[in-house]
Amino acid sequence: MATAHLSLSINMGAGVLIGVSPACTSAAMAMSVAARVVSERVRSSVLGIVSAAGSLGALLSVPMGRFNQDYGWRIGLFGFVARASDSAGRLVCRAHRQNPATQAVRRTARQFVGGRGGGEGVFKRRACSDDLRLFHRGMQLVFIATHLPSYLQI
Amino acid sequence: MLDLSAGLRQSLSIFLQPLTRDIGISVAEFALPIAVQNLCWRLLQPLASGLAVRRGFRAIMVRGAVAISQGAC
Repeated sequence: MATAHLSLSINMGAGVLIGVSPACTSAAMAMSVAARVVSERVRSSVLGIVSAAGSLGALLSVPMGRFNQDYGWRIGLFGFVARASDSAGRLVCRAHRQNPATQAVRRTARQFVGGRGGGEGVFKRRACSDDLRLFHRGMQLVFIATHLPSYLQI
Repeated sequence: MLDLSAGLRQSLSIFLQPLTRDIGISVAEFALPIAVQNLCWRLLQPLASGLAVRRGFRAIMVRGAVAISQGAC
């Protein structure tokens, strides 16, 4: 897409190739992987987190949109190319398992979810409903700020 | 990976105006690849899941990441 100058290139890039990618990396695949590596006790919580991770993409589209406005849409798409290449490299090299920074993030996330380490935890008591409400409102604002202007000008 | 895949699909509306203006296609013409994208996704999902069981999740997800990279490039 980023190097496209013809309609056919857009059809192949945005249509076929980006259509193939979610089949290989979508929530169904991520949930299958997550369900196999966690215990039954925390499985439903982990699957919920995996499901919510998909929504992070919409949140990340806000800075991507601003970047796009400043430097051009082709550069914005190259940002996705870089991120995808990075993910593919990490998957191949399995570097993320040995990475101490990633392990620290996982440990912190585990404490946050479980409420250990002095915190209340995202799934504890009323914090759960507050988090959900805040996230839902945030998602609506993200949609209004990024996608609605494009749709209104069609 | 999930975040990246969902992010790119949901960010396409941001690229709608500059892309259609730059390449010289209409919004309706841009809707065709989006329809193809959704068809490819839904049709290939069972195939990808079946292949993941046989060849491993990592191999299939690497191919997905490469497809994102090639598609966006």
